[in-house]
Amino acid sequence: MADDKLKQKISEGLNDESARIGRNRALGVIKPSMQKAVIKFPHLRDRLRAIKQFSVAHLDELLEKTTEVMQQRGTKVFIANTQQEALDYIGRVVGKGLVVKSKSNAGKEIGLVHYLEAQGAQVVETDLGDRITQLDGSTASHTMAPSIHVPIERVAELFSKEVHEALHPELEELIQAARKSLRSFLVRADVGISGANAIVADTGAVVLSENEGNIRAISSMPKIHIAIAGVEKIVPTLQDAITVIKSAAVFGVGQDIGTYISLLSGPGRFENDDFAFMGDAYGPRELHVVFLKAGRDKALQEGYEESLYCINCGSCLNFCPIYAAIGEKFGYKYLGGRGAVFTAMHEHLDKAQEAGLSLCIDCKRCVEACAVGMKTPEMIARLRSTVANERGLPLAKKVAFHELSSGKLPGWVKLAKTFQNLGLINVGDGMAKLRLPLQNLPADRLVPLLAEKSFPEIVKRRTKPAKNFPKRVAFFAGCVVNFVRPDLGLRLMELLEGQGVEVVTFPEESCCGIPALQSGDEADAREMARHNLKMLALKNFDHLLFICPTCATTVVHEWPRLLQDEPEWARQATEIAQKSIDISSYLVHVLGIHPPETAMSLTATYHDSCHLARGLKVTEEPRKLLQSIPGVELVEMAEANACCGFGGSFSMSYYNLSRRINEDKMKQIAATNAECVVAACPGCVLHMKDGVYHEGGKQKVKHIVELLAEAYKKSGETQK
Amino acid sequence: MSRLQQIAKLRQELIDDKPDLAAQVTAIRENAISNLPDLIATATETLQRKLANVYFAKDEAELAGILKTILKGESRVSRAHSNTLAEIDFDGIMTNLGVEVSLTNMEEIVRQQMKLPDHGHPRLLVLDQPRHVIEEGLRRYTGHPEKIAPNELGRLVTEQVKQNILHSGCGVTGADCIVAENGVLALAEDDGNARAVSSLPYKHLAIVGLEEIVASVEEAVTVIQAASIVGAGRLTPTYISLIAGPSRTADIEFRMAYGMHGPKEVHVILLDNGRKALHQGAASSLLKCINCGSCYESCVELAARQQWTDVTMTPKDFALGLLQGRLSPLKSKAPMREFSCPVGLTAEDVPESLARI
Repeated sequence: MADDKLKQKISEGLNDESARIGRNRALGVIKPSMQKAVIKFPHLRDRLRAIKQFSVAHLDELLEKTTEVMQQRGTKVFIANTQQEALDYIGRVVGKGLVVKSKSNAGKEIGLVHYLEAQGAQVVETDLGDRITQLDGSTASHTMAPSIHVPIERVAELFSKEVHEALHPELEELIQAARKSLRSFLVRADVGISGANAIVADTGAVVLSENEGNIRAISSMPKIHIAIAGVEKIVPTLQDAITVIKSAAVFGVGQDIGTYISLLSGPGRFENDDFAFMGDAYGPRELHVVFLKAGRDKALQEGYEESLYCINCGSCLNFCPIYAAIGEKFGYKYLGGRGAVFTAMHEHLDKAQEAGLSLCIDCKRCVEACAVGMKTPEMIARLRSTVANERGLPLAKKVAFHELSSGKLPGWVKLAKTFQNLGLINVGDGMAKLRLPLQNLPADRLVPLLAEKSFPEIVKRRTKPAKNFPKRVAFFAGCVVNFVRPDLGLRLMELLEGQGVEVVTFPEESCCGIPALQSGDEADAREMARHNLKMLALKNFDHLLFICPTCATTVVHEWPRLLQDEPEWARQATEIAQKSIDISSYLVHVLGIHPPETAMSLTATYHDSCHLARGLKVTEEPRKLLQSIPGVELVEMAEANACCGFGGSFSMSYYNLSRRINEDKMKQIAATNAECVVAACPGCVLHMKDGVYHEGGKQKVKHIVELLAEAYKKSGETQK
Repeated sequence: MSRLQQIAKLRQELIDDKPDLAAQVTAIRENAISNLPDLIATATETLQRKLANVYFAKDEAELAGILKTILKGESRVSRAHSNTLAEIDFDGIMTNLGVEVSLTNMEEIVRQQMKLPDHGHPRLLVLDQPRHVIEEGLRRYTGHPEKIAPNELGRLVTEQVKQNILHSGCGVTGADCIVAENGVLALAEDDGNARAVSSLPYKHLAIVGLEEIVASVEEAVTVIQAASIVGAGRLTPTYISLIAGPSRTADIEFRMAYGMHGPKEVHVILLDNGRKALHQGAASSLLKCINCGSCYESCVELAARQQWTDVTMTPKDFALGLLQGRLSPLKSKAPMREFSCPVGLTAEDVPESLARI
């Protein structure tokens, strides 16, 4: 089953310590370089996206033009409709010859090396990293630095065997030996095979970027050069190709451009036609360009054309928390979330599941990092929805989402509370341990205790303060506040009432729908949206407040989209979306809250929740509020906007992954020496409490509303 | 039809297809000239940032000194053809240093073997020679005793040249452009020998005139494409190679090392040799010239009238030759025969400007 295979891959990925060390090493250098470089080229992303958008929209036309120009120049063009066609064509050209090869995602896509070796050809990887992993028999640990997990002693061993000499584990010596060894293959190779970073329609050029010089070698020394490329590599002009090249360097590794760029427009020929009768000059006698169409057609037909904008720079991987945790186990041939999307296009949904379609935690860092701004999490959500429609959901989820959508939550919760008293051990601070491990939940996993009384129950019994309120807001509590942390809801009410704002709540609130949506269940998510909209329509308010940014993002971005085909619901959803605001933005921009008067001595670090920072684009307001409390010192952690690993239902389905991601966050928090971690998301707070418990730490974890309520209470500014 | 007539015909077809190209290239070259001092400063910095060794040669004497520093101890270098290398008599300097120079451009090889005259065309080094002369020149180069099929001969020549390159301590080229924004050298060619020369030996040396500096990579490829269309009647050269410093890899334990497949050292000599004076004088527009060869026949006529010999037939090389004192001052400002120019120089302007030097 795809699910079991995936669980196994996750396990293997989490346990591969050497790959992880290698990955962290590479990422530690690449990420800061990329962030510095991107700032220097502010227009690059927009320019690239426009080029790719145009090219993909005119794909057939451009392919036709490219073929014509290339063929006129003597390049042999083969358009492969299937992977097998491409393999057969290349297989025929190569025969049993000696092939020298440079990195190619397209080659990997069709399983080229395996195919050629099976027919008796010898294939030598010429990129040093690829050659090391080839000799070592291991798999690449990172797309840009495939062999950094191989220690230098092992490299010495491998090349000593190759060159029949005892080599020392010394960098210079090994580089020279590798150069000599690979050159000996290059000078006698029959065929050179490469991919292509871009193809230019105007001039029929194959464009390639590199740092070592092996691509120059494989495309000039053998008499035959084959370049494989997906049709989406085609761009109209030379200048467009330069934009692609620059973007790949800037976003992929933080270089402004690769060391060597080769623009190859045909087989060898003489500048002086009078010499043409002498042959092909110094270049290859034959240049073959093999275009892959398989899967690209599907992407266009099914509305996933944005996936074709990808330039394979790997920037998304550099920031993806799942990739950081399990490396190349996330994906299939193409890595990461976008790899799962490509797999769905090139192969089929089962393979995409195996690739990790359900692993994307929707942190949206890839969207921020992407050279063309691909909205990969959205494409993944659509594919999950297709999977759910075609295969249905697992039974437990089906039942749960159905219950949630029909608003039967209270009954469900009562049942859970009974279990809670039997099966959980309270460890304080609102969290509990399981008495016995359950599937997916090891015994040491902390789970939030369901509150004695739910938020609606407490509000019902609460005496509203007797005073006139000049202002009024509505509050959408969300499930965590309603059933686990009702105290946060109460703190919010106290805080706002102290500021003269009346807070209206909704006892019949149903889940916002995001858990169903993340599993691909759009039908139930729609039901929940409609239920909530009906409820919201009964009250008048200008602002709908959220202290859970995931609920807010769902209401603002997903409800209108889900209901876009039902005009009346769509109108209501849009209206509610426009009134929706997170608590920090409300306090800073709408209410204009004054700083509290009494000081509290505290060092705090702030964690940017994914849905607040990237879903709603709010980062400054919570910090401003924190810093406005006298005596609070804000210390920034290294990567405040990295995901904490919660992901809502993700932490249930993939707890071990969730934990691993959280470990990195905990390390950063510890490094700040802050007494308290503050976040503006109840989910992050839950997960980081679990994290502190596991690390044996002493930090307090608070939602910003809790901290603010404390601060204003001290100054007597909150209603009791 | 002669080779030049064929090119003229192809040129016209391509220009008709790209009516905006001349205006673009003219703008690029004009900007380059007006920003020359800034471009030189930026290019020096970016070349160095990419770990190329950068030198500045005021004149041929300084250049010879720099070459001695870089190439002392080398027994052999291989070189591609470049007008700049011809301008400074690179081969002569190497002879004085005791360094053997292997030619790699087949036209140059034929010219040398058959003692053919140098017509001064900036791109075509052998003009309108019959096949048997070309074959004989290459046969002599290989030392092969008898006549063999042209393809076979071609293969023997390229093999021999490649062996020379593989046994050279340094490969020497010019450059079509230097890109100031990121320290990139742009080499454009069809034959492919410049790629071999600049990638196989441990050292790569490029000698480049100051006027070759452009601001961006996009500008460089635009100029290169224009030169190909106008100079060769071809849509694009077969190979455009962009080089930013030495070859590098961090694939072993993520530690940076140089000279993996390509050169370990890149040396770039920025050549003045009259270019600064030309830039500061009243004839600075001639620095726009990209040596495409489109005005070749008109230049040949002018040179004949002036009795100028031993010079590449382009407005820029005439100007530099005058400044360097190699050519006698211009006798007549009469306009040249009409020609098409991708950077907006005209048959009237050129002699007018040359007269001011």
